[in-house]
This record gives sequence, structure tokens and C-alpha cells, in this order.
Amino acid sequence: MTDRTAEYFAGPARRRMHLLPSGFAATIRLDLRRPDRMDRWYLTLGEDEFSFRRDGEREADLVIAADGEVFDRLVAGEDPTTAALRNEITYRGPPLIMIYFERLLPGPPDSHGPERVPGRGGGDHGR
Amino acid sequence: MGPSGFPAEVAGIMDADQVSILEGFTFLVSDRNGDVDPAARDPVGLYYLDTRFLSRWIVTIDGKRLTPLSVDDLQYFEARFFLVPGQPTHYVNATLSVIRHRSIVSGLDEELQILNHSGDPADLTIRLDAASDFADLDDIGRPAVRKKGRYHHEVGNHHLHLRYSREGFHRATLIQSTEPAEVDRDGMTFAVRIPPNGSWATRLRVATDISAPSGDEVTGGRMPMLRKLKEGVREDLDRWIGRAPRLQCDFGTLTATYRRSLIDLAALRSPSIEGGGQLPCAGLPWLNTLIGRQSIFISLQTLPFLPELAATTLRTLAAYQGTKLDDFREEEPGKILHLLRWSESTAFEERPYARYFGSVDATPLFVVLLDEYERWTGDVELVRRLENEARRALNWLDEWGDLAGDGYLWYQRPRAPGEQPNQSWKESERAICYADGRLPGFPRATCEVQGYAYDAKIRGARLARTFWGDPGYADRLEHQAYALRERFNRDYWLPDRRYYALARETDGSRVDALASNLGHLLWSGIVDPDRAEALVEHLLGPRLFSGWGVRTLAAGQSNFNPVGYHIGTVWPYDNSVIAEGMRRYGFTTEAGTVAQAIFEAGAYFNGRLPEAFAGYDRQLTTFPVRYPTASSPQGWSAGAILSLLRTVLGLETYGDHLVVKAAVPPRLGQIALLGICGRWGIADALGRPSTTASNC
Repeated sequence: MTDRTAEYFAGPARRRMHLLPSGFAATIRLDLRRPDRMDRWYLTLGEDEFSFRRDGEREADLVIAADGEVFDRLVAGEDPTTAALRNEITYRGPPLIMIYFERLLPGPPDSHGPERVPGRGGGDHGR
Repeated sequence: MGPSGFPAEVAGIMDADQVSILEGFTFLVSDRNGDVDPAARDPVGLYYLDTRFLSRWIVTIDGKRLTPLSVDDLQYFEARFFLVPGQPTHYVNATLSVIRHRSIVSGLDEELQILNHSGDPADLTIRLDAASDFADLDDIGRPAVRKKGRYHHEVGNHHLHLRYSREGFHRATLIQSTEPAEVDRDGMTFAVRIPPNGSWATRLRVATDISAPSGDEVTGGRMPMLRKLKEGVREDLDRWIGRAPRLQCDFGTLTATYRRSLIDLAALRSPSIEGGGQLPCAGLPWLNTLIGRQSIFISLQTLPFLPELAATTLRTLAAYQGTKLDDFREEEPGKILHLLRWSESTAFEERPYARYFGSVDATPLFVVLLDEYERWTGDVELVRRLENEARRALNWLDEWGDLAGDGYLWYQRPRAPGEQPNQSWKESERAICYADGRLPGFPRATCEVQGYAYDAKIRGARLARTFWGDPGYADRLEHQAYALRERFNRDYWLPDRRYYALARETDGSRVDALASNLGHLLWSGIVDPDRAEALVEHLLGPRLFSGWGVRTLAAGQSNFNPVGYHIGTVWPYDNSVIAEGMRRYGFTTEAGTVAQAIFEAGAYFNGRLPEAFAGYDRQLTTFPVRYPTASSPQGWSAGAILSLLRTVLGLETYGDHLVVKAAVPPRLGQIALLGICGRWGIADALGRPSTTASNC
């Protein structure tokens, strides 16, 4: 079975790195409960730094724990804030780092933004 | 109740029939006897993070309810009730009295004391009825909602544990007593004998808990720790008031109103996720939380007085800035947050409040605040740190705000069902309307947000040029701002009415109701100077000006209702923006008229201006009439007092200097604001009636 969380952080998550505040650096540990094991990942974020690895145990600024299956849904666009309110994911560490971590997760795939309507008022912008 | 006779040093929060105390995200609203009884009135109860943790909290003695003799609201987080059992007719024979002394510090702490005034022992059955419905704050006052989770009760020797669970969502209330009690599912009973002229007391602790149940026993805080916490809150309030400038003035009630406003602003602060600061929350009971627009306006209003609120607001809103597309939550990259909640309906996505972005004004206002913050504080470091966030906000205006591609800021009806239709400050259904009452279609482009967008671009340009080292970007922003201003003055102006349309539709139709939004246009600077006088005349004309302030919607408009939320009531915050707008265009006397009306109204509300009050004509009602469900205390109403003081004193910054150009209305007499701290150091401002200019 493919590990969607690992795939996401190996690829697409990097493309959201620019959404982190300038100068932000943190080590985030993910403890993901899989049916037969516990996966422990270290996500290291910094200026020009992005790594997602299982090895290299060290002190983390934020520890997030969840069922792997829950996390697989988050990397597919389910909302992390409500998952935390339902205690499907729990975290230990500064809430601010959690908020920044959530920026790396995608929005719902079926969201496209508000509907645009061509305006017919406004002179050179179309009156 | 009259304007002259309210005590200057009342510190807590007390309206006519209810007593509220709060601290951080916890608050308790009760009747004047201290009881919580939703059958008698709602909203009452103990709330934490948008959930009700106590929906029943009633003390009886031998089956009799208690009657209040007096209530001391000692601090905003602390109140003391003096009571007697039974009905008022029994006063003369009362041999027992009761004191309930409660505070909100890490849950609820209440000391219940009973005094026996007779020479005989008193054998009493004292009963505390307690229950929790764990209701969602947003469901209170609406038709009963069937809760989808399960309730549990655990009865112990000294405690009652009430719990509610729905999947992994848990809320629990633990009630403990220091004195032995017979505990059952609905409360606790104390059978006591009080000796002649003696007393009996117990301490009740209510802990609110949101963690998943574990093997660990939940316990309330220990008493010495609580005492320390309480002292901490008290000292913090003293320091807060100490940091604010001191006001001296001839208009007697204004000093008390000012002090009350400072205390309410202190009470409505909540811990921020960012940097350990305190964030201004909107108001009780409905909005003890972060509302982007309101936190920004409170920050703007308080900048000359207590700039720390602005710093926390900016940092917090920056952290929550939108980064993705989420249609349910109206989130788009760069958009600034509208509302946060922690309730059950939020957790299960029945409401979008985990991070709700359903407003289009917070984003430009965020940039306005960042620039204004630097002007008062000189805190260049924060302006540089938030460069990316400010650029993203400015980019949002064009990328996601301009839904019609014509250079204006538009909004659609929010997609989550049941949300307010308007994404500007007058959110309610009928607020954005034609003079004849018709409602425009969506998307809508209300006028005042175009003003905010203009202001944001002008200010963004200053920031880019002065602090971000990007003069090219500054030029582009300025060019866009001037083009917007020109376009706006052409497309929104109603030449036959001599005011700007309230909104536009995409077919070019101008929504023509006369409304207070005109004052916001003055405030933002988008108004052609030749037209300012016409707007001021409308704002102070008989249709908009009630005598107690400017109405949200003018009398004579089809939807006008003097007790309609955004369609005829007077909002103190709105008036503070209007007055500052008049001042900006040089209408100092007129600004003073608005300020004076609100100061005078404040006296009738014991110094605590509610969110809104009725828009009846002053000649009709000799006092401002309370709006039935208005939030009180309300952050931006308290802030309005500070802002209006700034307006009459004409406080402005110029480089590293504070400029004072007072224009005080004659009825207010002399006003002095002492110890104004900012980038200039410390300065005083003095305003004498009829003074036109005085610099310090």
C-alpha cells in the first residue's frame, strides 16, 4: 500500500514552502500510527531547507500524532484544524508552529475560489 | 438612570438585568442573584471556547430562590452578590443572608457563604442545582438543536463530573465543593446547622475541560494557585490602566466613560497564539473571539492610547492569513481571517468557523493598520517582518477580490449555508439595499470597501518605498490607487442625490440607499474633496443624524427601522470612523458634533456603550434606547470613546512628532490627555473649547 503522507512530503509539500514566513525554521516530528507499526518522521524546515526523513532522531519543536490514515486524508485536502478539534490529530508544542505547518497542507481539491462574473460597469473597466 | 449619577469607579460588567464576568476565553453571564437559569432568560451560563459548560447554576435555601440586595462587580473577572432567601416582601424579617463571591480565573471559583443573624441555630437545606447542555454558542436562542453526542454523569463524594462526547470531541465540567455534600446527577445538597450569629461557607470550583478523557483525575486548580492567578489579573489591569494616557475633562461623565472603556478593553483581551501578546476580542456574549475586522478597528481606535493591541492583532492575523482555496471557509491566498471558533459545530464542519474568511474588508484593513501602526510607534521591525503578508494581502485585492475584473472589490454570497450574506461590516440580509427596499444581486461591491482598498494601496506604497526598498512596487500601487479613486468617483456618485451609491451590481446598477457608509469613505480618503461637504451635510442631516449619533441607514429609506441591526440603529464604532473621516476632510466642528453625541449617549449606558442602540430621534426619546440583543461590553464600542477623543483633540503623527490640533465642542469644556506614549516619547494634549490649534 502506498504511503500518501510520505509521497506528499516527498513532493508537493515542497512547493508550498514559500508560504512559510521568512526566517522560519523548525523541526516537526510526525508520529503516525499505522496498522502494524508506528512511523516516525522528522520534517525539517528552514531557510532553503526542507527534509522529510525517518532517521536522525532529535529534539523536535512540535510533535504531531495521528492515525496514518487520518494524515493521508489531510495531505489529500481534508481540513487539519477541525481534525485537531475532533482530537483526530493531537500536537504538543507551540500552536504557531502548528499553524505554519498547516500551510504546507493543500486545500480541498474541489475548491476553486469565488465565482467570477464579468462586470459591465466602470468605463474603461467596462461600463 | 441619568447621565450625572453613575459611579466613576464601577469596574466590573453589569447591565440592567444581568451580571457578566470574564477572563480570556471564559465568561459567565448570570441573573442578578447569581443564578444561571436559561428558562428565565438567555443567553446565560458559563462559556469557554464557544461552548456552554454550565447551563444551570441555581442556589436555593429550603427550596427558596435567592433575591439580590446588591451586586458589587469588583473587577471584570470578579463579582459579589448580597442576597436573601425568598421574596422581597420578606426583607424586613430576614434572619439569613447569603454572599456569593465569584471569579473567573482558570474556570469558575465561587464562595457561597450563609450568615445566620438570629439568636437561634438554623437548620438549613442548601441546594445547588447544576447542569450543562454543552450547547454551541451559535445555537443559543435558536430552535432547539438535537445534540449528536452523548452525555455522561459521574457522581462523587465531593464532586459532580458532567461530560459530553461526540467521536473524539470532548467537553467536560467538573464541579467540586470544599464542604461535604450529598451529590446527585443534578447538583449537590448541603444539610447544615449554622450556630446562632454564625456562618457557613463552601467553596465551589468549576473546571472546564476540553481534553480527551484519560485515566488522570481532572481536578480544579488549588486555592493558593488561584489566589495568585487572581492577583496577577488584578495587577495586570492596574498596569494596563497605568500605561494608558490619563484624561482630565470638564464634561464630568466622560472621564468615567473613558475609564470604563479602558477596563472593558482590558477585559476583552484574550491570549494570542502569537508571541504571548493579548488580542482584542469582539464582545460578549456572542463574540468573545477573534473577528478580523473588529480586532483591526479596535487596534486602530486604541493606537494613540495603547498600541500593544495593534501589534498583537497584526502578528496574529498574519499567522492566520489564507494560503489556500477553501470554498466552504471562503479562504483564498492572501485573505485575512474573519472569525475563529472552537465549538462542536465547527469541529464537525457544520459551520465554517475553524478559520472563516467570510469578509472582504479585513484584508485591505490589515494593510491600513500595518501602516498606521508604524506611524504611531515607529516599530519598523514589524513592518519589515510582515512585508510578505502585506504584499499577499495587497495582491489578494486584485487576484481574488476583483471578481468582476473591473478594478473593484466584490463579494459573492458565502457558500456555507446560514452565513450572513454580506461580507462587509453590515453583514445582515437587508442592510445592503436600494432606497426602495430591493436587495441587489450577487456579487456586490459595497462602497466603503473600495475606500479601504484605495487606502490600503496608498499606504502599501508608503511602506514599499520607505521600508521595503521597492519604489517600483510603490509606484504601481499608487498608480492603481489613483485610478481606483478616479473610477470610483465616476461610477459610484449619484449626481441627483449628491452622495455615493451604497454598492454596485455587476450590470453597473448603483444601489442607492442613503447610509452611514459615506463616513467610511471620508475616513479612507477616496472622496473627491469637492464632494466632502455634501456627504457631511447628509451625515448630519435629519435623515441620518438622530441626535445621539449617525444611523446606519437613513430614515425614509424603505428598509429603515430604528431598531433594525444595520438598518437604522446607531453604532458607536461606526460613528467613531465617521467623525475621524469628517476630521480628515477638515470638518472639525461637525466631527465634534458626532463625538459629543456619542459621549453623551455613553453616560446613559453607565459609560459602557453597547454594540448598537436604537436610531430613534433624540427629540422623541430623551435618552438613547437600548437595542435588545446588542453585545455588551463590545470592544469597538469601548474603542470608539478613545477614537473620538483622538478626533476632538486632533491627534496626528508627523514624522517623530505628535501633532495636536484640538477642536473641542463647547459643551465638552476643556479636555486634557496626559502621558500619550509613542515614537515621540511622552506628550500631553490639551484642548480648550473653541481652540482651533495648539501644539505640544
